[in-house]
Amino acid sequence: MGKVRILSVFMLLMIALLVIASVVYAYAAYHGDWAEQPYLGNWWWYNYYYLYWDIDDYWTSAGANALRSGHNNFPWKEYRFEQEAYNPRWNTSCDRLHAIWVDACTNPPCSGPWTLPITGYSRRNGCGSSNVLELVHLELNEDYISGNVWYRHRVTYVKLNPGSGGDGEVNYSFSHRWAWSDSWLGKVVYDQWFNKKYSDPSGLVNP
Amino acid sequence: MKDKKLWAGIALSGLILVVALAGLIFKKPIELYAGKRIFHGETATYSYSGEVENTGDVVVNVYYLRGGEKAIQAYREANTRRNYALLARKEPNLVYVQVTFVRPIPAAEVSALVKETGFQVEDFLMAGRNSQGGRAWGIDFTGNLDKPFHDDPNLGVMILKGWVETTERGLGRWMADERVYMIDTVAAEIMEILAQKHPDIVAGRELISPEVKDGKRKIIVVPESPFWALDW
Repeated sequence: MGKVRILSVFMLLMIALLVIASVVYAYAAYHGDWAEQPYLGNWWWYNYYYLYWDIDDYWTSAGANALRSGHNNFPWKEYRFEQEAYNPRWNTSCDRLHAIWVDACTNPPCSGPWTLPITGYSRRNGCGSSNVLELVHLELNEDYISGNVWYRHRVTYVKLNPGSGGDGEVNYSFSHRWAWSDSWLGKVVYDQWFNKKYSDPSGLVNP
Repeated sequence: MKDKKLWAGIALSGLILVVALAGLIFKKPIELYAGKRIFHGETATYSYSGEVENTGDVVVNVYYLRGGEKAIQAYREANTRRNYALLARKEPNLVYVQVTFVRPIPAAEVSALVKETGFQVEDFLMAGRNSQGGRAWGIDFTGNLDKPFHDDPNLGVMILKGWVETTERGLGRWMADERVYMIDTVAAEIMEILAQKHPDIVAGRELISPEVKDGKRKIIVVPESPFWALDW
């Protein structure tokens, strides 16, 4: 009987761990079909005094190889992430979020190969007032990106005019220097108080 | 016979159209495509790609040429030469610079140097090791070196962007500092190149300046930094 109890407790623990793991890794396959883009995304949306949008990106081995090959062979592509706190297609959801801090592995810390390698960055106006800078570009350091590794970064925003403006959205894209358009990876739709409503693809954002 | 002439005419028109399009592509590569104006070019030490954004602002990314460390070294030397030339100009003016440090420098030290030289900070990137021993970086867009947004003693400033005067007290002092790996003034050169090669791009726009002017169209220059390969 004692053995059965121990086994039951062990099974319950395993189930609890699986539930936790499924919550922590609520990742989804990104939109877009570029060979060089990250395949999986795993996001978090923290609506506190500031708005924190955490992103984990995952390249497959083939994807990372394509990324490095694209960078190191003619026409020498230079890849970037475009983190757009607005709707770039219709220029809506403007002036809601103002980026003030972008980091990789400071808080929460992470170790090993998790730190997103970059060569440059910029923040600028995506749409609306030129005083609200809702667009962040991160230029990737392709030679340091490996397959089968999660790369983490966070963008911190000041929330503007909460309670007004209805639903808004943020979008995440992948692009390079020669591209006329980008590869859209996904988005989060939030309400007037900046609470997450849903993501596209669904299941991308942890609750 | 009439049909033959008609078809020959169509074929000839098509050929002319193809040649004209090819000429446009090779003369101004990839410009005015799909409503998104993209332009690019190359100098002896770097290449650049620019884009007119839907806001009307222009963003120009600057990349090192192929060749690894040698190419970065050549780019660094070109910057040093340009910096001396800027210093030699009779009329001092404010130039946009990106400073890369040799290693993470405490924000207080950088703040002291900023005040001493009259440097106007746009933003900065801090780097270092986190509590787990992993590499960590953070970009502080508040630009407040005295009170960084994420005040972590394990992080120091690796990249500093902003404006400094082309005087001995300003740019000259930064050039003489051993903590500095590179002072990138490529933005000044990019503006000259754009004025020569893409006057339509420059018209009605100015290089981003310390004063925020709502409604004024800007040119934003984004150089690469070799900070990832440095010691941190």
